[in-house]
Amino acid sequence: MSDQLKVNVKPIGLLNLLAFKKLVPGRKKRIGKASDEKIVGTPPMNALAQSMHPDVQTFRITGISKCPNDVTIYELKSKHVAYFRAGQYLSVKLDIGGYKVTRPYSILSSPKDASKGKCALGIKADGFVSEHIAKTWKVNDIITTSGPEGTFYYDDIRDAGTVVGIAGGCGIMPFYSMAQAIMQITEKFKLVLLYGSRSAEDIVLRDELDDMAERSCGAIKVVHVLSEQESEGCETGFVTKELISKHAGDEPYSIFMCGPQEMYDFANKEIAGLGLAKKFVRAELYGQINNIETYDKFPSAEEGRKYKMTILASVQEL
Amino acid sequence: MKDLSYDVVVIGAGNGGLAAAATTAQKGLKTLLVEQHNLPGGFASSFVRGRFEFEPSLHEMCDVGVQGCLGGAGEFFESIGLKVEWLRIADAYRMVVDGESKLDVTMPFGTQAYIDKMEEYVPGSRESVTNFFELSQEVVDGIGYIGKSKGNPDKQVLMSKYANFLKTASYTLDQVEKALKIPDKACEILNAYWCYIGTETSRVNFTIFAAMMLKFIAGGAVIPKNRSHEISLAFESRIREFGGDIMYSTKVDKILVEDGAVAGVLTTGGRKIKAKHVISNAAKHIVYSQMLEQTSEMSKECNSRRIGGKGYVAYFGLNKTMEEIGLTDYSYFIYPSTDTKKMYDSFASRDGDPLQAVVCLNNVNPGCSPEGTSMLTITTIYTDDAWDDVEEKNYVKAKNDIARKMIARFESVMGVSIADAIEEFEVASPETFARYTGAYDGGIYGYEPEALDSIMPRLMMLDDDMHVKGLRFCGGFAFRCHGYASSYMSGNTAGLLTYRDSTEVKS
Repeated sequence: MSDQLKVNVKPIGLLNLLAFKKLVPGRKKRIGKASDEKIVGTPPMNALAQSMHPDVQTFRITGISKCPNDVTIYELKSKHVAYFRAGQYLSVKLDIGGYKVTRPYSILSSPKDASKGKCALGIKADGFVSEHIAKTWKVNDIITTSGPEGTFYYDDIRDAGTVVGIAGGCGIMPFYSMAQAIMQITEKFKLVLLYGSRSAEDIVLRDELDDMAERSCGAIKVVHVLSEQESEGCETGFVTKELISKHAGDEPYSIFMCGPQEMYDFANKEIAGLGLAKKFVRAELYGQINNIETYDKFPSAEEGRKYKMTILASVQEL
Repeated sequence: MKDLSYDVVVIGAGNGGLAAAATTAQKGLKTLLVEQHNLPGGFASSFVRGRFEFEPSLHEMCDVGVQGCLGGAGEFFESIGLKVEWLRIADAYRMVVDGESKLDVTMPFGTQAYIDKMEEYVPGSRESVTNFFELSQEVVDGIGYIGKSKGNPDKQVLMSKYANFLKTASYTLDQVEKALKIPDKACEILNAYWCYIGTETSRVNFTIFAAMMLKFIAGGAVIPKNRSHEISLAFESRIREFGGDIMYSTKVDKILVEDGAVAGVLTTGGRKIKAKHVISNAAKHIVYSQMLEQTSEMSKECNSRRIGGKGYVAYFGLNKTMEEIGLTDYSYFIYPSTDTKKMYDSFASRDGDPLQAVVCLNNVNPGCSPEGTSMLTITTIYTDDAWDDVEEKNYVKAKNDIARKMIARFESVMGVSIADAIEEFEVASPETFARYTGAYDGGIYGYEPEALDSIMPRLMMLDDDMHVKGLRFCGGFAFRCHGYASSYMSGNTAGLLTYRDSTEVKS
């Protein structure tokens, strides 16, 4: 210790040295008098943790509906569906030809549905796993997933009262969940959805979204933005800063984005011109980035380089 | 799957488990550390939200010391070659009390400086506060002597050199402060760290408080540069370098017992691992209720103890600097009162205005978040069934309601504004601690160190409490009581005792 004091404390007369000798008998007595009722293995907080964050959830597929653009919606049922926050995702766990894989897919159903044992995922078949899912999943199949994950949800402690949602393609799913939560008053914020599709025929869940917007008393506004088509009642082109300003309304807003990387690349340049603080712009991670080597910060020397990875066998595999 | 065989299996890679595994592996015992999570550290970890990497649990660590003048934990870290970059904290704490008894004091580290400052705030307190620290030094020395004697101290030495340590060991903090005639106002300031123990001063044992206080004030406090995760990773490397094995994402289902002694463990995956020694970082409540046939001795021991505080931490990533906000200190205690009993009682409900232990990481670690930003965390404690009515559906509301109250209170007490600067926000509730570490009912404060269940009676009853031969405990629920330094040290001691056990078995 850095600075020892030189003062000597006089023995503290009021306290009894004999009391020290009573510590062990006292503790023994206390244990002796205690109840021998068995202690429970899972007290309330651990039970809550298990129900909110199960390692694995098992679902039965109860419905499959095809949507435009290779998107399929899978309706799922389970005895207990972990409650979640609108915007979160589940990681689907699969074994494809001996390869154990997991893929995250946003939940499109509402938290309220979860308390009824229902859940739904919307998956676009455009990769190794999603194409396998499209080919193999059938009604009544049993699938396994993680518990709900992710932080792409609304929180009034950090976010503005209005959310401008910029969605592209399958990126509509978390917003669809949020819209339902707003309708069911489990979430309270204003959602302005700028939903990009190539053409009117490509819009996933269009009728359902438009219907919610109509019944929402102004809480939800849906703007379809078509990149390759002019259509009545829809915006044409991409989500520009002018488009955001036009539809966002007068109140402060947060921008939430979910869609392919190309959409983020475009939108980020537009958003930069809006002068928003970083805290008001969030984006969900969405699949892998294609053509990563074309991005600014990609170290060009690494292009095409192959790596050998050695996995140190854990004792589990001994 | 073939059976594995080790000298010792350590259950849980929390602070205690990491220290225990490093100790036994260094001693040459064939060591396996089993952790249910996919990361080491338990509470000692880090997590990322947006552009912020948060410290989940560590406020400040005592007992590390500086090169040339190491504390107990510092000596242990050096003895195992642990590489951590430590940053020293300037002042001990700023304590702001709002309510009927207003108080706003900033207390320094360094015993003499602390006593001088106290005299400034409470004229006439010098002698009694000096006695408090002198007595605390004797307590620390006494515990050190008992530790060195491996549980067999010479009674004559104890009586002659550590009489006051023995005298005070069975009393509460309030009782000893009264005996030392410390003025009330000085007690209030002195007791600020009470929330790190979480048991009110009329019940908390003097020994444990005095030891903590002396280690903080005399030795100062540090934090690792890269969050507490850095300490956990440093332990992980050393364990492997000492030849120890670590299994992550693996849960121990059962401790196997033959003829009343440990024979090994069984993992959830159904693998049998033979070992004559088990050190559990998991609390007795968990081990006795889940991993062993629960005997009435085990139930009685657990039922006689009180589970300490459950953690609640609100983490804020701010888009302003600490300077812009106007916060210059690292550690703030914002108390609604100076009555620790009143504050303790309020832990039993989520309704009131909770006390706050606030940390501004950037004020000690300026580079910890991107330029123009800062991080602030507010911690409080709950007890008993304060969270039991919370269900999945009202969980978010429950945790956010508390955070909102905390922000409003902190802003009004400190005269600052943070609500509009919140870029990232996360909460660790008792549920979160239970989820990531398996903490029993979300408890982060081990068993309450009341006089009859504090460090000394626990130490003296280590053998009585060993219900299965070969099974020892470490971590916040073990004999050293909770806290970072105590948990590491308990792991070290449990490791050394297990090493001794193993030589006895062999000979």
